[in-house]
Amino acid sequence: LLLFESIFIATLTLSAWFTYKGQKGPFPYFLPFMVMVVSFEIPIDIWFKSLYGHNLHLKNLMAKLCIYYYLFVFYHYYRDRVWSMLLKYIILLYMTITLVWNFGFQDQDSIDYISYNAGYLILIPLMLLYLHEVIYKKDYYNVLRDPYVYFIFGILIFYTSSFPILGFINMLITYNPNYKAFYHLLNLGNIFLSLAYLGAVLCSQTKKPSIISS
Amino acid sequence: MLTDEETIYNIILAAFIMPVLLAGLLIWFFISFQKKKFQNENDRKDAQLREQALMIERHQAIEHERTRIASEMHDDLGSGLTTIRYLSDKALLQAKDTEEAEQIQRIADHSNTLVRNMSEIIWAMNSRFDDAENLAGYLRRYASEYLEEHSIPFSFEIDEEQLENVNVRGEVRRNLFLVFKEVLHNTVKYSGAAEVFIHLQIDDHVTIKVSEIGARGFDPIASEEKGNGLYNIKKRMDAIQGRISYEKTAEAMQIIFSAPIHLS
Repeated sequence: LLLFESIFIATLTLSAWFTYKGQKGPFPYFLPFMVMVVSFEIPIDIWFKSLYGHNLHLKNLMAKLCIYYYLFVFYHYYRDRVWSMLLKYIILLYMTITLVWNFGFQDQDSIDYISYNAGYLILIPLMLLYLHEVIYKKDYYNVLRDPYVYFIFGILIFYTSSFPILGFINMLITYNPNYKAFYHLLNLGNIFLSLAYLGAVLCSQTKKPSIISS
Repeated sequence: MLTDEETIYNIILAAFIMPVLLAGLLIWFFISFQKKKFQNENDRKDAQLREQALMIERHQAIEHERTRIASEMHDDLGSGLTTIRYLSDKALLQAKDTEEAEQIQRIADHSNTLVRNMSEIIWAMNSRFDDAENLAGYLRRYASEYLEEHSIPFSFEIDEEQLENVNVRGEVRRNLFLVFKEVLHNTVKYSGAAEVFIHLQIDDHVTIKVSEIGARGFDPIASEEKGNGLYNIKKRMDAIQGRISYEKTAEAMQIIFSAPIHLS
């Protein structure tokens, strides 16, 4: 097992344990999401590699599902805003196009980095808006107890560290005999992402953000 | 398709720009968050200061009101009661028979008691007297008048230096005086004391020790259950976060009560 896979398993176990204890998760449907992540990262990944010799079509699908979930989390958070309807349609449109693209047109032997980057183009403004509101709109509270802050920084660090690789992935990994170096870099980004999930689960089980009105 | 050279250039560019942007974002977030935290702490401190200022203002307003009521009581009720006493003394001289004289005497006694009680209330209420010197003077005068009236020799001890510039709140002053009064009342009525020593000590607490020489002594727990006097004393001491203790020695019964000058 790679380090980030172990962290994913630990996160899933803790999340399941807290759910069993009747506590709410950090985000809606987080436990099913973690089940999906761990399944795709470990058993299904091994199975696909043994079947096809690579896991590119699996990664294409998984990356999309993860982005759908991230978008859903932020849609759920912003659902009371005036513009949430617009966001809903953008997300639905994005999902439709990327799914049609994935199963209709995408070369399954290469990575679908266009859908991946397009998803982040929607996601990043939502995350920046959240951080902006933490600073300028919300009352002061301890951000170390806010699961969204862990989530946002995990995704941002993952995206930033993996962007150069994923942006040029087909050139760097798919057709490159020395792809392992880039593969290790990608794993490093995954460690940050898995730690963010773990942090979100752990902090949401401590006290809720303590708001001190000024 | 990009050439190898262009690809490498783009990768390096992307690999450089993205972490720089992220680092910028992180720095912005943490600096802004720290600023907000600092601002919040300042706001909280300001709010605390405002609250304290408000409390002081309220306290001053209450003191002002107490002084006003005390002055008005003194000027209006006081002069009225003194007039009743004066008139009843005059009427007593002109009384035709014993029954009438007794009735008038009762009026005179009641007005005397009222004048004394009222002067105690005025003393307790007036914030002008909120200091240790006044408390000591008032206790000494009361003990002197009361014990001499009942022919019990007494001595009153105090270190005068302790009294300088010590503020004692009205509530503490009033409750201590009323407890002192009740203790002396019990001394005269029940103790059978041949002599009384009173010691007043002032530091961060006001401590009064009343030693009843040759007193019979009593069981404070049983007495508290039987009558109201000791129960009221305890209630008054509790109200000012004070304590009272009773000690019986071979020579005397000692009653020691003490309360902090500044309530927490």
